[in-house]
This record gives sequence, structure tokens and C-alpha cells, in this order.
Amino acid sequence: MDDEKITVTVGDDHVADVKGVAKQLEGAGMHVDQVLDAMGIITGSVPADRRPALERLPGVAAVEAEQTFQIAPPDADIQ
Amino acid sequence: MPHTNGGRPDANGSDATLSDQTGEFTGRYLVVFNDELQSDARGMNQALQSGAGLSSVASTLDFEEGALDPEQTESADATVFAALGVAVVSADPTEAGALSALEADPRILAVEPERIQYAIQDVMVSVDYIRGYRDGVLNLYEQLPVSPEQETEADIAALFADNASSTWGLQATRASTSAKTGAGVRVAVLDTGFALNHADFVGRPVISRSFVTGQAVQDGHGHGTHCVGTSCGPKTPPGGSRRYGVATNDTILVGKVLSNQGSGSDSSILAGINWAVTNQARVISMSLGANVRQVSQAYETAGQRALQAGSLIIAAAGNNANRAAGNVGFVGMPANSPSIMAVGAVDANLRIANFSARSNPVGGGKVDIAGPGVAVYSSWLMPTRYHTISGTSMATPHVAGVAALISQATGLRGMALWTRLIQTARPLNVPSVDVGAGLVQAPQ
Repeated sequence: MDDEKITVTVGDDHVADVKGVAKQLEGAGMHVDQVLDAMGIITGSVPADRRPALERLPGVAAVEAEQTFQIAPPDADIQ
Repeated sequence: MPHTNGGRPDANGSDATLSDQTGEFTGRYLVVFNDELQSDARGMNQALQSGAGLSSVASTLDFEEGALDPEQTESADATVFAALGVAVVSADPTEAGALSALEADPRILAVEPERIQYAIQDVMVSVDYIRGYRDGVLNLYEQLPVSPEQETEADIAALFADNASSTWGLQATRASTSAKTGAGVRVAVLDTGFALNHADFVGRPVISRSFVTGQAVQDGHGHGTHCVGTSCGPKTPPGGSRRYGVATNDTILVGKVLSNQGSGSDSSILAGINWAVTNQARVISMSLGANVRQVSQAYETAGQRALQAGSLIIAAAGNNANRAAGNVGFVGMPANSPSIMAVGAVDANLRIANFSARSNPVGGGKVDIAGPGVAVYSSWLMPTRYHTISGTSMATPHVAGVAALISQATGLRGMALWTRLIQTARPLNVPSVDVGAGLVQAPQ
């Protein structure tokens, strides 16, 4: 099964230990790319069937599919 | 002396002035003292006792913490609110002469009847009535020989226009006349990077980092360079161009979170926010968004934690409207996060831009403020050097630059800086769902 890119938000009660939450996420099957300490956010990927397990971990406030953004090309009048 | 004959009954007891006024009255009178007596409770008491012969005067100074005891004041002829310099005087008909005596005292500014005030309630009008009213007005509108828009375009020159010294956007936001420069304030622009070789920024320190795998900070698109120019461009561009930058001497942080092809993802954008907050950016300008109505918990949390750390995130509301075709669009992600300030775009007539997205009904999905976003001249990739484009992306760095000026002027940051931006915005004759508090205004 293909991995899904995800963004994990760490809850206020665990924001002092973002790295600890990241370890828990890895233990539950997530591949962690970035641990953003100041934001309390962890990015990475996970097999889709394992995503529900991440949402149940202590300190995990939300697991969201990664959003992509696209601005207009350089020659567009409206950007 | 300024003296208001505030509708009190005259000596023969007639009530002519009162009948001219709307509202209901309590039968008591408000006596307003001048500055000489304000805070001087004893002086006010004496004025009431000697001038009007009122024997029983209660004062807020008699009560704990200035709070009145209604039972004690009920029996008094007058109650003095010392801190306000106002007394409430009960006036039965036998005291009409006493009120005249008060009006003659030069230390008394006005004697006015006390009104009964009601809490404002919802207007009870049926939906059918309002619908009928709307249909009637629309019918009248359609019968106009010339549409108001055509008339406006033809007859009225733009309120603002670029001139030799500055862009219309700097004039409209009053950045062009501000004494502030953003000195000492760090402004992060998270975008496609920056033309580090730009001739207008030679010698200007830039702290930069790329969060796009395999691409350097150097802007290969132009969008990021345009946004950096608007928020942070120089006071006097070398080469004689008009000024286009708001905060001319702030510290520039460039985080490349969108590729040279204009694409990006949460991982690069959130990493950019994390970097900007860690590097103590007071303002984070993000001219990017996705057409997603739902609020992202990640961006909302990032916005909250940034505010707590003293960083204000300002994002473009989005360009997904086409108002000429009846589509007002909606504020997208991440500007729809309650803790991220959403910026709409107005033109040089201070009208909403055709493309500028309207507030999204989700919590936090509202447009908070507006900036100049139509025909915006700013820096571009060398050797082109300058370019004029439109978008809520162009309005956003105007707000970010002004935020830096306010932060320099006041020391405010985080939520307090947000509040000041909203408080000082110029109200526009445009619905608040489109422009929030109005057009951002620079401190002078």
C-alpha cells in the first residue's frame, strides 16, 4: 500500500515533548521527515491503513493529509 | 460660556423643549460640571447646595470603590459622580427654579434631562417584508438608464495613482508619508524565494533559507521577489524608480517554501513558519493558499503558537472570486485559520478587487483586513527588475510591511499587534465580509 503524506499536530499538553511524540509515531509506523519543535508539528508519511492508530496516540491532536499549494505562473496578471 | 439649555422645564413649568426631543425621560436631570470642578466632589456638592438649595447630596466618594448603593442614593436630592464630573438631580416641580439657578453657574456646562436607555434588541421585521423590500429596490435598480458602475468608471478618476515618487498602494496605506521604517523589526516572507542579485537591494542584509528540496533561495519565479519588494523595498530605489516598499529598513527574512514552479506543500510551509518564529520574525507574510474551505488544525495551531511567541502570520485571502460573473469566492487555507490574519485586495478606487475572495462561513474564515492588490508595481527578477501585477498576494505584503511599521512605533507584537492593525484600519464603503476592518493604515 502506498504511503500517505501527513501532517501531525501535537496537542498543547504534549508540546513540551514533541520529540517524544515523534518517537511514538515512528513506533506506530509513521516515517517522520521533520519535527518542528517551535510549532509542535511533525510531518512525514504513513501507510494508509496505519493512520487511524496514529490518531489514537497520546499527545496527537490531529492527523491531516498533506495539503499542496500552487500559485499562478509568472506571466499571469493575477497572482 | 458653553451652556446648554438641555430641555429643562422653564420657570412657568411648560415643557416645550422636551417635546422636541425623542425618547423617554426619568424626570431627573444630569448636571455636567466643567473641568474646574471635575474630581472635586466637595466643590460639586457646594455648587448644588448653595446654588440650587439641595440639602441632601450623595457622592460616589461616600461609597466603597466608588460604587453606588441604590438605597442610599434614592433618598438623596442629588447624586454626584465625582470621577465623571456629573451629578444626577431629582427635580420635582417645586425645584424648577433651582435648576435655573444651576444653569446660571458658570462652572456648570449643561443641565440635561436624564433619558431612559434600553438594550439594543433585534429588529423584528418579517422575512417576507424584507424580501419584498429587496425586490422593490432591485426593480428600481434595473430600471436605471445607466448602470451605476458605468457612470462611476466614466466620471470619476481613480482616488489614487502611481506617481513619480511612490506607488498608489503606498499612498493609500499612508506608508509613503510614515516616519517609521520598520528598523529593528524582522519580517519573514515565505514564498518562491528572492532575487538575491536585485539592484535595489544591494547592501541590504537578507537572512534566507530554502525549504524546497534541491532548489536554492534564488527566486526562479518572480512572485517572491515581488512580495519582498512590497513589504521591504527601499525608500529610494537606485536608478530613479518610484518607491514601492512599505518597511524600508526592516530586517528581511526570506524563506523559500514554494518552488520556482510555484508549488509547495504543508511540510515546506510549516517548516518555513517554524524557522521564522525561531528566528524571531515579528511578522510572517504568506502570499499563498489553497482553495480549501475547511480549516486545517495544523495551520490553526501554528498560528496560535506563533502569536504566543510574538509572531503574527498574515496570509492572502485568495483569488478564487470572479465577482463580475457573480462568484464571490471564499477564503481558503491557511488564511481561513482564526489565528492567521486574512487579507483581501482593493483597487485604486478602494473598491473590492474582482478576484478577491469573500469571507468563508467556517469559524475563522473571515477576511480580517484589506490591502492594495490591483496593479501593484514592485521588484521582479533581474534584468526585468520591475513588474506590475494583481492579487491578494500583492495586498498581503502591504499589510505585513505596515505591521512592521506599527511594531517599530509601538513595540507591539503577536495578538496585540493584530489588534492594533485592525483598530487603525481605514473603514471602507465595502461590505466587511470582503474587506474586514478596512484598508490597512501606516502610523505617521
